[in-house]
Amino acid sequence: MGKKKSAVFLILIAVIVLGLCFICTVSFPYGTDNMYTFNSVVGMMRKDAYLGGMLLDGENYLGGGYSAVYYPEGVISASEYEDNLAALTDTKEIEEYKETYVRYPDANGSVYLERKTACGEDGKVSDSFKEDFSAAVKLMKERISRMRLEGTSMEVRDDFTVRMTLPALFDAQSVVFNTFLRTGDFSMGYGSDAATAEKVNLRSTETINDYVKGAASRSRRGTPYVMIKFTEKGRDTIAEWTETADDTSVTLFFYVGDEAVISLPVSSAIDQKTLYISGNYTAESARAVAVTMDTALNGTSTSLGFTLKETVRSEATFGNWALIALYIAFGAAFLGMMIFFFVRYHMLAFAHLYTFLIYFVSMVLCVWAIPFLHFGIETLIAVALGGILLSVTDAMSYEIARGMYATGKTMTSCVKAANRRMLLPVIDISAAIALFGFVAYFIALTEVSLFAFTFALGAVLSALLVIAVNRFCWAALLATAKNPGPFCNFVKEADDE
Amino acid sequence: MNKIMGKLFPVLAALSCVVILAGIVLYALLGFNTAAEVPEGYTFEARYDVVLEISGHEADLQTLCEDTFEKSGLSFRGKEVLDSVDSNSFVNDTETVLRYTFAPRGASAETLAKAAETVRSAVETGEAYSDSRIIVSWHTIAGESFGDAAWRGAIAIAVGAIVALLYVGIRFGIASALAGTAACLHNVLFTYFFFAATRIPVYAFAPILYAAVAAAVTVLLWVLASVRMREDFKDPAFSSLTGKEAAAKSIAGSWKLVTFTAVAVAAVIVLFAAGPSVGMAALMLPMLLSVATAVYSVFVIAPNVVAPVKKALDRRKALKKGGYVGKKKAGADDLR
Repeated sequence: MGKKKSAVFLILIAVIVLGLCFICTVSFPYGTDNMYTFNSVVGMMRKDAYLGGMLLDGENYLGGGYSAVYYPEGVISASEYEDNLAALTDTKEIEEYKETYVRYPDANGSVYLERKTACGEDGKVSDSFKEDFSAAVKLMKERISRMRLEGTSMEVRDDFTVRMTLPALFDAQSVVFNTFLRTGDFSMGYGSDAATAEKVNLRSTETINDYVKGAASRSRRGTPYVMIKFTEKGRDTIAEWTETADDTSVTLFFYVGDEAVISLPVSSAIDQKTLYISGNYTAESARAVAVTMDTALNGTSTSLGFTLKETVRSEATFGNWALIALYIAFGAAFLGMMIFFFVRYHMLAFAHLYTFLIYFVSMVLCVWAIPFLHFGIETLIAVALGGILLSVTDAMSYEIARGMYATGKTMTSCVKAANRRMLLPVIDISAAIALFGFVAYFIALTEVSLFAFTFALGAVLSALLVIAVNRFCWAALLATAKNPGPFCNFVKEADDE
Repeated sequence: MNKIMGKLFPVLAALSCVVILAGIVLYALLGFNTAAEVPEGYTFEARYDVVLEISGHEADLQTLCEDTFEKSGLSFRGKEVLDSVDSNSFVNDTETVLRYTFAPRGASAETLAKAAETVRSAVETGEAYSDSRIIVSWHTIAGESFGDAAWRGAIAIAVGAIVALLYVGIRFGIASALAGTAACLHNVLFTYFFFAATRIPVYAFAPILYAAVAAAVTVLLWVLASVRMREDFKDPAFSSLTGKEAAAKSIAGSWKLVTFTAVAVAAVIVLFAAGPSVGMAALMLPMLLSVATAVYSVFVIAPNVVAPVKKALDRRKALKKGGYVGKKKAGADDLR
């Protein structure tokens, strides 16, 4: 490549890379009176529950989560008690209301327990309520565990309420919060409405598990659906209920407790072992409904009802400064790396700089564009590890060239030999890591899965960039150099002497 | 250095076994110490309506709460201003929640109840709050943890590492693959169970992530060492060495590269942990153990696996070259 062509090539790459870096990292207001805002790709990335930040518009917050408090039947908050009391005017009613509730755990407590429901006449919490509540907590834990959502947390508040937090990047918070309220046995029925539907008639020796095996969710060709698996008896029952559906349509109802979780209008006979129900589900809401039904069938049994209250939008668990600190840390790491390369390889460091910036931009765009990836600690660590891999392999090839140049060979032959010698090692290193990452991604869940996939992606990208971009930039840079040795800080042994 | 490591290897291996076994027992009995994620403690909340926001007295309420805490000797560890949302639509409603969190050491139920009472009476009598509805409450909190994804994560790491090391076996030989497998297995088990054994507070999801990072960094460092080893073993100078000497010499030759890479990874982890968030530091700093075990296994465990395997393979190769013709036929001498 000639000097002019090389210079043009390098300037072109620099402009493109800097433009992309700007789009990826810089947010700014524009328009009359800064009416509009441009949000960078990093800013617009979906953030996990631990990280988060406000967009430049000052209105939209990305990251963090939502939390809500589940109050079991027989438990109300002190403020609700006071509101209810204030609404009463009749002295007798006021006294009766006061008699109905006991403040817990003492006169300063934050909740009130209802006599005969949560505590006995003596005001002590009943053992049966304690057992019911711990069974309900166990059921909630089972449900959350099976949702496999990164950044979900659960706390028992004031001994007898449950506070659940879900990540904001999860798009079915409302479904989860509201379906997880449903406790009680699974049941099914048919009819015209949920309240009057004829339910399956269980004999004294039977349970619902004799009819229904379980529930699960799947997505096929972009359509999420809930699957209900029947036993032979269950299949026959559904077939019997729907045999006249060709003439008169019926509705099948699937209940958890007293409330129908699914209402399915049927216009033709159903005779199959697994019922596939699609509707307005997203993959996550289908999973929430399936988990609720399956835990009612095969999980911890409890009939303690809950009411959802005090829903709030919570900010990032690590605080809003954590994200900014991470940006600064990433910048410091980048600066440290570039200082090392410039000190050791002088102007040759520009080849690495171009390669690294293209890697960074590509990873940012991948994390932004791939639907199941988001900005979190694990993705950040994986991106950083991929960047280190890129830097190490670049440095390895430069070191090979440096060693050969020292023996007296020409720079061109050194560069060619270094690229040739590094080709297979680069492929080997990246292939081993990519295999590890992609295989682990398909098996693991949540954090490990995200880390494995992002690291594998980083390894593949870094290999491609080292093989393709680094060698071209290296060649182009050398073409512009008058004296390639000092340009790359390479010294011949004879020069040393 | 190599000789010292070789002599110390049985002691170090025994130490690793002790940590892993202790970790398995404590994990089975107690699980992890998830205090970093699910702290016990208290919250103090003041829920107020939009009137307070419009009248510009939000900051006064915060000052009132914080002054009361100070007078009561309470020290909070977290403060959040949260938007209340509708439970169905998740759209902001007109209320806001000011929430303070307290560690069990920084507060007690009695002092918090008194502080709540003080704030409540100040709000009732204060002119600034007369038009607003403010509900003051305090709560005890007991966290619950769920580490259900750990099993799937462990299987994923194991299968991923085996597939990667199969590739290493094909490209760098069976000795490299076996050494890498031993190193990965040790690192994953050691990293995972170390936190159960030492009871260091961790996030519930973190130990399996640390194990995954340990496996990934081990694969990276071991492949870097294997690249060098493959080149070295082709060198005629290495053919005169025993398997143990050759492995030790080659791995010693790659120490700069391996250490440089490990230091870079450690530096990035330290930088990420250096921010103002205590939670971030609690999550990131234990990851240094993943890097440390990876370096340890590359320099200590792997050479001790490569050497005997290489020795056995060399012997097999020599036997093949020697033209082994099998056992003498019975009575062959008699016939002569």
